[in-house]
Amino acid sequence: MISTLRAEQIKLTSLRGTWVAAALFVFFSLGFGLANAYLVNDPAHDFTMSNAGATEGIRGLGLTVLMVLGAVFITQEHRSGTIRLSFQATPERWRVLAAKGLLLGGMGATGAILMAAVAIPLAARVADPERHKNLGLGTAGGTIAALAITCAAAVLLALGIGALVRSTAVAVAVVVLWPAILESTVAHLPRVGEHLAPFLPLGNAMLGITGKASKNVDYLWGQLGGLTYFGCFAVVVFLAGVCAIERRDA
Amino acid sequence: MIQIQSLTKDFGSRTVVDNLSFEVRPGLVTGFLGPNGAGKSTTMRMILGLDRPTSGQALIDGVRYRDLPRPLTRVGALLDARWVHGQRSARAHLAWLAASNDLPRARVDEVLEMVGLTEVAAQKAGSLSLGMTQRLGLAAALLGDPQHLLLDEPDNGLDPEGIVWIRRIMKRLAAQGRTVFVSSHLLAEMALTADHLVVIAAGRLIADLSVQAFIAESAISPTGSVRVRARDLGVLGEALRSAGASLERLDDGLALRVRGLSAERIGEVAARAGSEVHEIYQEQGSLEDAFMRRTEDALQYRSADESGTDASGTDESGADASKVAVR
Repeated sequence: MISTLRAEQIKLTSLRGTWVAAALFVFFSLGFGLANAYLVNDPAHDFTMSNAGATEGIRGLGLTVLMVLGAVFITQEHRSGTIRLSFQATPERWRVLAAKGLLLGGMGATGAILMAAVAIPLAARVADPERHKNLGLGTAGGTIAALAITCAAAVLLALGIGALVRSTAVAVAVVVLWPAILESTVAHLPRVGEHLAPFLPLGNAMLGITGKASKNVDYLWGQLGGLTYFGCFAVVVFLAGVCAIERRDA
Repeated sequence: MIQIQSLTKDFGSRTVVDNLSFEVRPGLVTGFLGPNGAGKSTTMRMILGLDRPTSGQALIDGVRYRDLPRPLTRVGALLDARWVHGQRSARAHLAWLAASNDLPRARVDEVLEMVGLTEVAAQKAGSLSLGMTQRLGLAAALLGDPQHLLLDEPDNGLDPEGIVWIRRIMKRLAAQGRTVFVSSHLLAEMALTADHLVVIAAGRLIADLSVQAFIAESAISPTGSVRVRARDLGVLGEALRSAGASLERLDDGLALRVRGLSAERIGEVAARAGSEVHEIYQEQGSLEDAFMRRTEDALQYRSADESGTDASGTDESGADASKVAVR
């Protein structure tokens, strides 16, 4: 497993796209927190600054960047044909996907922790202290842990989707549109929407990080439940992807 | 030793590889011949565990590919040289393959040197020419210093110099006692490189014999021909005709094209007739002819075999047969 992990690490770091994604992740993670902090200082509004506000960029566009990276990391192997070399080198195919999950999931979690550790003190420094609301690393343990788990799970979800659909275009479209459009569309469906809303994965992920339910959604569980639900959903999709690559002709 | 045992692969209702059995022995270059679409690549993919056989199995030294530990050290394969990420450097491409099978990093530079890509190792794989990409693919196959090599049309995209080069490499690897299994749809190419031939068409085995046996067999076939020059062509011609040959005069009567007799038999007849022979030349085209005829026969047999029972299969064979005829 170590050798497969090492191979995946070389694959990941030898592509420029990975570094572009990493830069974007940092930019969005810190940028949104900073922007929120400046917004709070605007006397025209009555905002307060919390740990959740400081880390909005991580669970928003930062998360999307991680998911796109995950989806591309597996689908580009199908597109270029290197997946067949991967399976020649590692005939126990699940190891290939597991190594990708471990590597990229670990990076996602680490990235989230690092970014939160920078974004929160940064926001605390920029935002007017009068408008702080439990802002600071001292109270951020739960938020940061939830962010780390969500980022890791989101990467697994993206890898699972990529392994299932194989096409880069489709996989990227799904992971980009899912948070932006798919979930809100489902939630707004007439009649069924309100019943489905509490079971939408990313909505649950956001509940898990912020502890706040999105508008008009009656969740059946609290913060920990939302986090667990999203984690389980991601793992199930990831395992479906593993089954697919084990069963299919490469 | 690679053993193919009753290997069958269906894609839906189409049988691409049909109850195929043969062995690939070490120390020889074994040519895997068949027209395009005969099932060569699918067979190779099944050997490597990339495609799952519908039935039957492929074994490498008695073990399925899937069950080989560190498989790159046992089997090296070049199925499609374009299986590289265009944005990754040639060296990085080999580096991840090496890491996946615990091969030392130094081995990457060794194989790059071996295939002559050291200078372009840092270049993105996408910027390499087709011939260089093919060399990179061969480097990947040689990475684990494997006992068995599977090469699918390795001379694809190589210039004449490159073709000679890869032929030499294959022969050297076989001389080292390795198993070299190389596919091609060009018989003439294989006749120069291979020691043994496995011929398939429409997924079925047509011939499994040494190159010499194939040449000898095709020489006595009606379409096989031998070019003969002699001091007194009239005397030799008579002797050959009475031995059952059909003759055709070439080069304003300076040479004969003989059909229906092998080169060996022509030599015998000439010796008995006391004729001074200047040239006996097995014409290469007859090999192609024999190969085509064999594959065509097989395809027609298959069409007849399946007519009425499986309409789609018949269509497929018919299309393949016409392809053979055109070529």
